[in-house]
Amino acid sequence: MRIDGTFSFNANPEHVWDVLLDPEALKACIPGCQSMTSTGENTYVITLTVGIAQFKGTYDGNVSIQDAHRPDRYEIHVDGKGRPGWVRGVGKIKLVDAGNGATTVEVEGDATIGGPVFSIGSRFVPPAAKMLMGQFFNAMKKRVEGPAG
Amino acid sequence: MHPAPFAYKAAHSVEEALQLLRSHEDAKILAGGHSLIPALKLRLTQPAVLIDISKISSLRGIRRENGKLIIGSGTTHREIEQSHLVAEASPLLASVAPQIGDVQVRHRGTFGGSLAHADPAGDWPAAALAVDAELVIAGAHGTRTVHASEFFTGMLTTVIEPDEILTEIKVPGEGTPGIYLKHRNAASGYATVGVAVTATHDHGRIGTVTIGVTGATPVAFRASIVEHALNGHAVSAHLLDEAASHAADGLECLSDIHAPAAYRSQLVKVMVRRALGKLLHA
Repeated sequence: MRIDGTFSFNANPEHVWDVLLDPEALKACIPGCQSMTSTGENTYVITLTVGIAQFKGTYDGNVSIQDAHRPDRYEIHVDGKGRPGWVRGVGKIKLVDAGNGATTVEVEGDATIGGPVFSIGSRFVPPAAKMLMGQFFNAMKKRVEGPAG
Repeated sequence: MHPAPFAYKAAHSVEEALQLLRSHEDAKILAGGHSLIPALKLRLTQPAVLIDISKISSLRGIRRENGKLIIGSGTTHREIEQSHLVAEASPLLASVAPQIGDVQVRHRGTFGGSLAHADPAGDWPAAALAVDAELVIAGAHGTRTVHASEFFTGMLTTVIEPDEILTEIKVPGEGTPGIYLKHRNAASGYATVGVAVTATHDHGRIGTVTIGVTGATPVAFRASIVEHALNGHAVSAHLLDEAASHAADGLECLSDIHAPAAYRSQLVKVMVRRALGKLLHA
């Protein structure tokens, strides 16, 4: 399953980078994040409760940041499972200097899902993933640009 | 599979159902159960309490009042399919009902349940949008009425709050010609794409066209670009071709193993064109 998206920020790439990879910001902006604990440099265990309408599920997983080149690009690797199913995926994130102190963040995600959520809900998953990604970056945007932005 | 344990409460009036909703955390309304029960069995949803509203007689039935057709939310698809009143007052609804699921499903599944569930492939949302249905929602402080255009807020999501119940749906009852065309998923019968269209015309001139589309995107929508291109113009095959060719402009279509996004997008255009042709004879 491909999940792509482009998001713009009114801040320079260095600033956007520092917020996007700040554990406190991640914890606050990941939709449904119940807990996130560091287990080493750029690795975390995370628990989240996400879903749409009444189809909610809790997932436990490992998240790691790899191939990080501040402020240009990084990869986020996710491996999680919960009662509704499991997910494994990689998001490649590119920060592009858009000039005038603005940054465009390009996300190319590729994920594999399985379990009951897949057998009955496969048609719901890509739009749900896209919605959650949008929520995450909108929350990050508020954090990067401040309440006035 | 078996569902996780839940408590079952049968309500016998809307008041009682609202009271039960308020007094239980994590409660879910059960109507026909044709979306909820499969999800319960797969444990994709695990409400603590189910409140059965299928025994509330005031939620069932079809009547005409002040020129409007008023359908109780608990009315089954089959009751709509077999209603002479619906056939006369809303040809579009009469066209949708027999195309839902199979006859067993239509005997249990409800009009209101389908609308409140807001499945991206559900049939009724397209029709509700095309006839600009008014949805009556009851809550602690009385009822409120929401137009279909504001009712669906996203995939599987509507403006109904957790402590509210959809009670009635009002649709225009002037008998405006309408048709529902559906490309069925071969296995499930769900709409890969479904288009619900109403159209009036007089002496070769189009009056008003309304088009609701389901299945293509996370939430059903009105194809307003096409409507604007048609309203008030003289009917011609060329005009319908041209207008329908824009039916998928700007859409981000769903994609799955049955139909990739580009296929759904093409289906939207083709099916809008076919429905217009049938109603406007061009």
